[in-house]
Parts: sequence; structure tokens; C-alpha cells
Amino acid sequence: MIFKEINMSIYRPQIGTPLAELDTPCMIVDLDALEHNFDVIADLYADSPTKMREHAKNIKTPIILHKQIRAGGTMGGICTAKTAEAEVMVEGGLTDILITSQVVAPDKLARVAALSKIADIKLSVDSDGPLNELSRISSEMGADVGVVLEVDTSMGRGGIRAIERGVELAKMTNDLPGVTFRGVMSHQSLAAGADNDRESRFIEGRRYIQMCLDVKDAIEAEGISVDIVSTGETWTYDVAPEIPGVDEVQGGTYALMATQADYMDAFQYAVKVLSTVISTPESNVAVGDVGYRAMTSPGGVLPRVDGIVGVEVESLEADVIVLRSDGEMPLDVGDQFLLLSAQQDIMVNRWDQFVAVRNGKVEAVWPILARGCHH
Amino acid sequence: MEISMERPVFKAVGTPVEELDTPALVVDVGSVKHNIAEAHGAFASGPSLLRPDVHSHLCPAIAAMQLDAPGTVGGVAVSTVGEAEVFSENGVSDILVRNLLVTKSKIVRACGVASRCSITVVVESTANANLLSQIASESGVELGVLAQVKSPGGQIGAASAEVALALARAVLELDGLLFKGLYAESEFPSEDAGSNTTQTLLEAKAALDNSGIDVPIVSVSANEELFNSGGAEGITEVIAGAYALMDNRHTAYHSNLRHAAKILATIITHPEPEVAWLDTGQKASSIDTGLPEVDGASGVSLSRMSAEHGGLVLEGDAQNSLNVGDKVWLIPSDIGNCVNVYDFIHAAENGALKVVWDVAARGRYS
Repeated sequence: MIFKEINMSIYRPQIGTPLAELDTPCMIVDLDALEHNFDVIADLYADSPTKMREHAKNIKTPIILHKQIRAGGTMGGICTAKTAEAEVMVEGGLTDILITSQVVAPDKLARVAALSKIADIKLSVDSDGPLNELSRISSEMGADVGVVLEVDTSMGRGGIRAIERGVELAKMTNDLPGVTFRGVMSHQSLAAGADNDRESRFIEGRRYIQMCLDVKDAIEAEGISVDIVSTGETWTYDVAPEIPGVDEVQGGTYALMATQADYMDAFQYAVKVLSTVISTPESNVAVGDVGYRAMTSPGGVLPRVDGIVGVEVESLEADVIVLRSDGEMPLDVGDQFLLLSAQQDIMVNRWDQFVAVRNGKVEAVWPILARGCHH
Repeated sequence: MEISMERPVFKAVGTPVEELDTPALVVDVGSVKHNIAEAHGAFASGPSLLRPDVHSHLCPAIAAMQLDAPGTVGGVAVSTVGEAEVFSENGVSDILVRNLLVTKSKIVRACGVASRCSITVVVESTANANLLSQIASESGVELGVLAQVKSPGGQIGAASAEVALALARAVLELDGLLFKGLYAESEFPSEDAGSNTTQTLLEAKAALDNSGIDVPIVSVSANEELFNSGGAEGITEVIAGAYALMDNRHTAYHSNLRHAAKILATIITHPEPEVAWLDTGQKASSIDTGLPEVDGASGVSLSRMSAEHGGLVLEGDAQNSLNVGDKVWLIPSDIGNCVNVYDFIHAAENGALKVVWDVAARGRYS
């Protein structure tokens, strides 16, 4: 067998191609909806000391992150979950990046330090071992990496859990070479049930964000300045600006939206998957050409059919989706339909490109440059 | 367009696998060879042949190992035209596309593949056969055709032997199409439904035989029972793929096969004695069919995964022995779904990196 050494170019539609002529399955982004979502942020934060730091992990595409920065309402930078994502974003022209997961391997800390020589790089830290290692590697390289302490407010995941521990790490950072203490951050999850009710959402959001601010206050009481208080995520975008002292919001989901966040009704669904019916085995059943491999089904939550009343998703298999209608199925073999994702973050990571659409026609194709950058 | 976007930070050949950048998808070549030898051996001496389903690994290097082994039909099965394009570009000469192609653009692309290799598609309706015939004729190529028969519990395919017979007759009359036989897909897991699917297929074959129609191929996919027995009388080929790399959801069915593919992950935070978090979550493992399982670390289990994090529960000695920076191995639930989120497979031998394989058909959904 002879191996071809190059990757074949993937199917990339011409600008102006109508939706009906796109090969499916195809992940599209509705530009009007995307721009609406960016404008919501720009308007809300225009006169607020709180600004958006958009999360690149959801989008993975520098050009889309630049669009929010140009629209306004941001602090001019972004965050990433991974070192490799940060590398792609720096190459894509972003200059201020907060890496929100802990990085502990020496070779990866060296990559973070190297990036800090060409961009303003801040790393989330929650323990002294990796902090000492970062300092050693960064100072040997003549670099300076910003340190942001993660505070665990509700995730039970990374982050310090006691205020005193935060003060200790801030002091330690101040005494180490190659690193500069910059601030505190937290990422919070919303309890099931609280998402339906704005008042509960605000109560939960304020409580978690205050835990992060308590750490900031304790560090400042020791005479150490705290430049950045950064909290997430989309569900606190309107809570955070009401709380003095919050500098930035790490929001990701709002840009493309997902049905799991449908209670955030200021935002519109911007990412959709176009599929084609390949079989109609019964009068009220249709089978489409996309499955969980391309769409994902986190926690078994199914995608939703967009804009066809009375047609529901019955099941999602590896490569096909089964739709069922109340009465006669309005879709025939060869017809297209659109699906909304339950969780766009995981889905976007499985695609090579966004096909950007306006008024039913392709306006741009954007490669998802940080797709697969798990490292 | 450059589409390999993962940054593997290639380590030198010979690097111990534990030193690879994480998350890393690591495949033990010796275990792949063992699995192929076991599975293909059964078919080399069994009633049917094997058609490797490369949708389970998306990797031409592994397809080459499968096709070099005995017991195959000499070709592979794929799920999409995009996958057929990749594998035909990589020298595979016989490809079966297992999903229906109903749009003009897909069929045109399938005809493009047919210009450089033998391609076979499945059909369930005469309308679809007519469209395939029209485009194949215009393209000046011939598409092989299998009539899909609906398996018990399935959605797609001819609903009865009579419908399959009518479909076969229609295909036989059409230009640009070569009728090759019958196909059915089993549901996974298929130990109970498998024999029913076989029975359904054999009934349809009998109807065609009785009408004097030649049925060179009777093909069935995703059928663990048939796979383990090397097929069955009357079935010419069994389509299977997970056996080469293996995964969790197939463990119960193939005790003779080894978990050749594992994800290497790193502990990045250890906030409580009984809790630690890995740098590997849903994005780097795919949990649509279930969580991965921790391999070879007693007292360590995976309790949940968020997008980029994997939550470990530690019991007993593991609470003290595991620290930030330590590595943990995970066995994915669905190997095809897992490979699909990686651009590269780190192929290792005796615990050291041997070569990096391109997951060339990753993301080819259309």
C-alpha cells in the first residue's frame, strides 16, 4: 500500500453558495445571530468597569474572537483552557491571554513561558509545586508569566479553597523570579433548577463571585495589589457587572449558544448543523445523515430540530439521527433541516471549519484553528 | 488547506510513552498485531471473510495492517464519502460505503472515488437507485450496489424479502450500476439480535436465488456474534472494526483481544485526598457512549468529565501515592468516537514511541 503524504483538502464551499447546495452534514454559523450576541455584550459592558474576556475554548477560531473585540465590551483579551489553544491564539494575533486550567508538566510550562515573551500571558495556578516549577523555568528563559490564582467557588475542581491559602500563594508568587502576581479567578457552575429563574441565578452568581472577591480582599490586605478579578461564565454575564470589583467575565457559550443554556434568552442560536434526510422508513419518521460522532450528545441530551413545529429528535446514533413528527413527516428524502446543539463547546471541537451564513448564503468559511488542541 | 491542527509536540522516536505530551492517544503496536492476528485468524478458517470497518480508527496505517493480514475480502468499509476519498487516496482499492447517499453532490463525489478504485454503495429504494444510475452513467463509472435489508429493530432498508427482490431487479436493469448483493446492519450490542439479522438476510438471499439473481455478496455489519464465530454459512463478509484497537464497550464480547489504544492523561490538581483532576476531559476522549475507564491503577476511578477535565476518585493507598504531575491511563468507551478527536496516534512498541500515525479521515462526516 502506498501512502499519500498530504492531507486532502476538505470540502470548502464557494462564497455565495446557497444553504440548499451545501454538502451535509455541515456546521454553519448564522452571522446575524453571532453579531447580535456580540452586540449584546458590547452594549451591556460599554459603560461598565466590568468587561468580557471571551473564552476561546468554545470558539477555537481567532477571527471570531477578534470580531467580539472589535464589536466592543471586552478588556481586549481572551482566555483559553489549554496551552496549545493559547499558542494558536497568539499566532492568530491575540495579545492578552489567560490560560484557565492548571499546567504542571515542565515541557508545557516552558511553552507557556515562551509565549509570554511575545504576548501578555497569564496562567491559572492553585498549588506551590507547579508555581515553583513555573518560576524556575520562566526565570531560566528570561521570561515573565502572569500568575492568576484560581479560587474554587462551586466546581469542586481546580482552585484554592481557603482564603489563607490564596494569601500564601500570592505572597510566594511575589517572592519568586520569572512570575508576576496578577490576580484571582473563578469558574462557577449553576445548580440544576436555578437556571430557570433569574432571581436564583443572581443569588447564586453573587455568592460565588463574592468568594473570589474575599480572596482578593485578603491578598490586598497584605499589601499585594490585585489587578485582575476574572470570573466565569456566560450565566454570570449580567450578574458580574452589578458587583463592584469584578474586572472581567469569562464567557464562552453566549457567542454560539446551546440548548442547555436556553434560559439565557438575550442570546440567539448562532451555531447549527445542517443535515439531509436519507430515509423515511415510516410516514412520521425521518432519518438524517448526522450522528453523535459529529454532534455529540453530552449526558445523553439530544440536539433539537430548529424551526420545524411538531418534529422532535427521537434518537441520535453514531452517524444518523432519527426524527419523529406528530402527524405526517414534513420532510422527505433529500430535504435539509437544521439542528441546535445541546452543548456547542464539545461539538465545535469535532469540526474543521465554520461555514458562516447570512440570508441563506455562504459569506465566509473559517478554519477552526485550535480544533484538537487538547494539550 | 492544512487540516492537521493538533499540536502533538512530537517527541523523538524512542521516547518512553509516559513522557509524551498529554492528553495523548497512544496505541501499542504489539497489541494491534495480536488483535489482528486473533480476529483475522478466525475468518481465515471461518465460513465468512472480514471487511475491516475503518470508521473505527480513521487511520490508513492501521487499514494497511488489516489488509495485509489474512481472512479479509481485500477491501474496507467506511461510513461516509469523505472517508472513502481518504482511504482511496491512501491506496485502498475496494471500499464499501455503509450509509445511504441521496444527494447529487455526494453521489458525484462517490463517482470520483469510483474512477480510482472499486466502490460499492448501499440502496434501499428504486428512486435512489435511479439517481445513482443517472449520475454514474453521466460520470462514465460503475458503482457497485448492495440492496440494504432492514434488520429486526433497524430503521433503514428493504422491509421484506419481496421488497429486496424488487430492488435487486430494478438495480439489475440500470446503467452504471453493478448489483453485487445484500447488506444488513445489526444493532450494537448484537449478541441477541445477531442471528435474527442473519436470518433476515438469508431469507432475502433465498428470494433472489429462487428468481435466478446472482448474489455474490451477503454482508453484515456490527455483529459481535458473527464476528466471534468467523461468520456464518451464507454470509460472505462480516464488517467489523473495533477489534483492532478495542475499547471498553467491546470488552465483554472479546476476551481474547487487548486494549491497544489508551489515552495518557496528567493529574493537574489534587484538591482533596480522595479527589484529583486530569487534564483530559470530554473533548479529548468523547463520552457519548460512556466514560473512559482508568487502566492499571488500583483504587483510582473516573467519576465524571467536563469539557477539559477528568475527575478521579482515589481510594486507599492511591490517595497518597498519586500526585500532581503523575500520569494515568484511560481506556476509551467508543474507539472510533475517541480517535475522531485526535489528529495523530502515537504508535508505541515496548513502551517507547515508534512512529506517529495520521488520523487522516478524522472529521470526514460528509
